[in-house]
Amino acid sequence: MKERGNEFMKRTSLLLLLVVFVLAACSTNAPPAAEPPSGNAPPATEGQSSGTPDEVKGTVNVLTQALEPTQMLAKFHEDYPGITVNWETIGGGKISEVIKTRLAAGGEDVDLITPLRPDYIQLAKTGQLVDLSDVTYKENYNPAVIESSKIDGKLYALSIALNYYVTWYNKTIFDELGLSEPQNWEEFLALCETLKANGVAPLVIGSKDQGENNHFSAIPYGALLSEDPTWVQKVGRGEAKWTDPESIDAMERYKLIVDKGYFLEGALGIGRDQAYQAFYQGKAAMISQQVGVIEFLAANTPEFEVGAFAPPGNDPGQERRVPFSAGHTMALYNKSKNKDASLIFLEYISQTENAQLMSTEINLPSSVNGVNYDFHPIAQVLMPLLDMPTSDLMHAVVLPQSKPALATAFQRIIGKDGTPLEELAKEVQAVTDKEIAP
Amino acid sequence: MKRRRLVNLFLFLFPATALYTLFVMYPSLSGLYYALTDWDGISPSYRMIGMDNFKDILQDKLFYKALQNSLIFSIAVVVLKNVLALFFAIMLDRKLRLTGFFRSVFFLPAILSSIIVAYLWVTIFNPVFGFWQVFFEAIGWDRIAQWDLLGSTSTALFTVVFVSVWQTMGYAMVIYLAGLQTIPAELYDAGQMDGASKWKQFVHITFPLIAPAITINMILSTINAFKEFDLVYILTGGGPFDSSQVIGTAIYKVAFETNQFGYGIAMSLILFFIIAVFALGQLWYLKRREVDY
Repeated sequence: MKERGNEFMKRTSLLLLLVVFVLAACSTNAPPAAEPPSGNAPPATEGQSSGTPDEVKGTVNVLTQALEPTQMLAKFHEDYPGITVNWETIGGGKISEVIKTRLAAGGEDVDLITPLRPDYIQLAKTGQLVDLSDVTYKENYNPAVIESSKIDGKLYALSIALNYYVTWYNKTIFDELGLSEPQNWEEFLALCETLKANGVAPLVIGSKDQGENNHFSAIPYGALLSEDPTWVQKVGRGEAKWTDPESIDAMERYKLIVDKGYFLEGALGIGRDQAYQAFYQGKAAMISQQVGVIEFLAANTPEFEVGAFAPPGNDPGQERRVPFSAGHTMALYNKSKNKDASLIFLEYISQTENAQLMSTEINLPSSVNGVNYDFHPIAQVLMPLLDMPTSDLMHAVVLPQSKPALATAFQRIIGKDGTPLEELAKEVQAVTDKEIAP
Repeated sequence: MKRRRLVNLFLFLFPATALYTLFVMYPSLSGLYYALTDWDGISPSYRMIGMDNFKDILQDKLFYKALQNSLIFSIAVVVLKNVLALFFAIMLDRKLRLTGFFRSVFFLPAILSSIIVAYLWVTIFNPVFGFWQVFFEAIGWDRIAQWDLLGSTSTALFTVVFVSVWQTMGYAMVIYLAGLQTIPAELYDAGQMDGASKWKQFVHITFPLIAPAITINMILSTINAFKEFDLVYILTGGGPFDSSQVIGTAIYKVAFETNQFGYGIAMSLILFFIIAVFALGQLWYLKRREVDY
């Protein structure tokens, strides 16, 4: 009897273990095992909604880092009562993690997403996004946005915000000291020196957040990017290297800014938000950040006048470029159950009138043509920058594994750890080499 | 009859076992499976690469740095937390007027979320306008005011140790207090009659009899210290330049920031193994020295 009992327990245990292994191997939430990439094979209705807008009903789930444009959504609901939009804002810079987790969990209720650039590229290349190349309303967008959103010649997302990298400055301090916006690297150094001589910290950087270190490189890498605006992408393809002499020169410039003491003390101990606070409190005259910081500026307007100029890293005689990438690239998930409704929503927000409403509401510079940045007086200072030539926005185009390596290298420059720049460049290049190896 | 008992036993155990299987065993074994792949966390496809992730980890500088930091962090937190917790537990194991108040004060940080605690100390240690800087400047200690505790490679990790001890010491203290209150007063009376000093009473009565509390505290502290993520992530982000990177944050970095999920899962399995070895080793050693008078 005892033996039979033991046998029963053994069989039960084995059965349980088998169930566990089968469950583990046949997960529906995880990607299918060893399935080849499906390419970009589009469905018949790719990029275009089927049926008239009045007929389409459904719920569009938007997963994004942008604030919820409640008024625009209310207007949309009035115009399209059959479609409900669930707008989910993911704050704290965690949009990438949330999107990955949702997709890994099966992508249920995922329709429109705004993945960060490395994720966007990967999602597009693995056929997980709807091809929007044929949508007619793409003509409504800034051409640079459309171009920079193309992957292998196809368009998979429409950027709802421009992502420029600019240097914000305390215009009141500049005026008091009789300073003007620098046009190139030499003028920038002279400006910093004057500010420092007058007891004002020229720059603040939130180096604790790795992206800030990469973003700031727009200034020291300005001369290189002026000559070759897509140099960073070339590094990602193995056509250029971090160890190239031009890149080492750029790192030297980064080091020069550190060695001359142009950063506010304590850079390694503060993050992006605290850096903005320091700028807001007038503890530093300049902060180089993406235009997205306009959200902070609009919500917490400093008492002083704020100006903005394109990063002045170019040498005299070189063209000055604004580092740029498409921001908040809104893409449609290929397994979405609400494609038609989502496409109607995409078309809706691509109309100037609606994009204007959204931009005004969520404090982001729209990439739709004809939208005026009227959400805050400070946003007006960005308007002249829109017509400038552009270059790669470093942090947006560096490969995912190289990104933290590059940020760490710049952190070490800021931390004055004494490692020769050539060594730092080699370490970053080693990561890139491994990442692009076939 | 016996078979019927076994069937009943099985029926009673089934709900808990099924839930445990679904929510613990299944994800864990899934993890084991993905550790053998090159899945990037985004693509719908991946390759089985056998033990390559584990081989790469053994040559990964970041992993060794994180492992070293985790060991330093764990030892420092476990020792400091338990010494302080035991000290305060003994101090507060008396019937004095403000005992209850101080017990609550010391326990308070333990009920706060790690995120809140971390942001609180980030604000205090902010080198530009934090309380630390303002306070020491106000009393004229300018050199100390300038210390960038979270932004210096030599202090970042130990600052996180301090915050961790500050937050969790109260919890360990309560466990020690519970242990102290189970010791019969007669034992101390007998010790006093035999002329034992306070120190001897502590060494020969208190310390042996709170051994179960020590076992629990040591094991919990070790497991939690090795798993540490929240405090490090918010206080330092693992920096400056990986100087405070622990295994928890390194796993997050490779999995979520560099899209190497398979690799990250392999690292987490190694972390699981390390924690198991330390916890079981401690359990074996500490259980041996537990006594009952």
